[in-house]
Amino acid sequence: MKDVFIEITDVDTDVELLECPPIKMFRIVKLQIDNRSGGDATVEIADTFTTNDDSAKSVRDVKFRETLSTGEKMNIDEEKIVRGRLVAKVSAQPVRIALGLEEV
Amino acid sequence: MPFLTNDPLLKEDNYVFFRGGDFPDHVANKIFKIGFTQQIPRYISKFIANGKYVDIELDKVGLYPESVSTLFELRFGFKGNVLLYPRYPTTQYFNVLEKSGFTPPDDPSTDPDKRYIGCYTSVDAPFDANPPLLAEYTVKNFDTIVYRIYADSIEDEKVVIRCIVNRCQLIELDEDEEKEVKENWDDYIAKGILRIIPHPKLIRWEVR
Repeated sequence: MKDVFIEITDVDTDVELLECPPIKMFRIVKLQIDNRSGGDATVEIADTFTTNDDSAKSVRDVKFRETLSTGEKMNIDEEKIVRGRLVAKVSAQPVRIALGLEEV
Repeated sequence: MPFLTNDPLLKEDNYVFFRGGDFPDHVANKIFKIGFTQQIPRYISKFIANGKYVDIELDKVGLYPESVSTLFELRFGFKGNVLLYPRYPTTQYFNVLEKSGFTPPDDPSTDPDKRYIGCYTSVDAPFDANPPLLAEYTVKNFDTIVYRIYADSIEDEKVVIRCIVNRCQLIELDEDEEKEVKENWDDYIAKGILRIIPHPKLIRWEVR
């Protein structure tokens, strides 16, 4: 299992959590979010990539989006597959994110 | 051309026979002994939007030999929620049923029934089988084979293809050895010493 831990201090911008190697895919088996800002924080976690077909589409596949109140911690059990560049965007800082990933 | 098999990879001292006059002249209807072999993994990864497809031409991704003295035995497995269609010649699907019209549409998204004719899924050719189960043989100057890969999903897909390239040295036989192989033909096939590689047109019964 691969663990990622990050404290995000940049607001309203994509912060990279993980760049999935081209020949690998991962399943998120643990996701913990800790809103340590002084107010509400909206947290969005997305898998981003560009398709290789004719459409050459830039994909932003949102895996999780939730607003946490001040001091709120959240554990998410739902399993998601990560294929490209996993990013997080928060509306207030700091927010701590811990991820556990297993290779598919 | 593609077929599913549990056969082991070719190894040193095996024999191969290229059956069919449509193979390139340097191998057509000839028997060769396998010399050295080398197993080279080759991974290919693609992102495909849902309902779209990509074409992979096997000769353009390094899966054809450059030397006339080489055979590539290719074994493919893959992961991802996709359908894989071999195309040979490149303008046609290779796996079609006999009744007219029972072929996948050129763009698989346009017919949700016939889309599922002649395609392989990751269940048929799993990524981690050893060796992978979807087999293909290529030699220098052989016609292009295309794998059309369709994202059969409600979301955009990633496919990772794992190919083991069994790079085999082809050694021409002297008369005595060729005679010996022909005399023991059925026995060698039964023992897995001799492998027949039929031309795709023979597999489709286009020629006899």
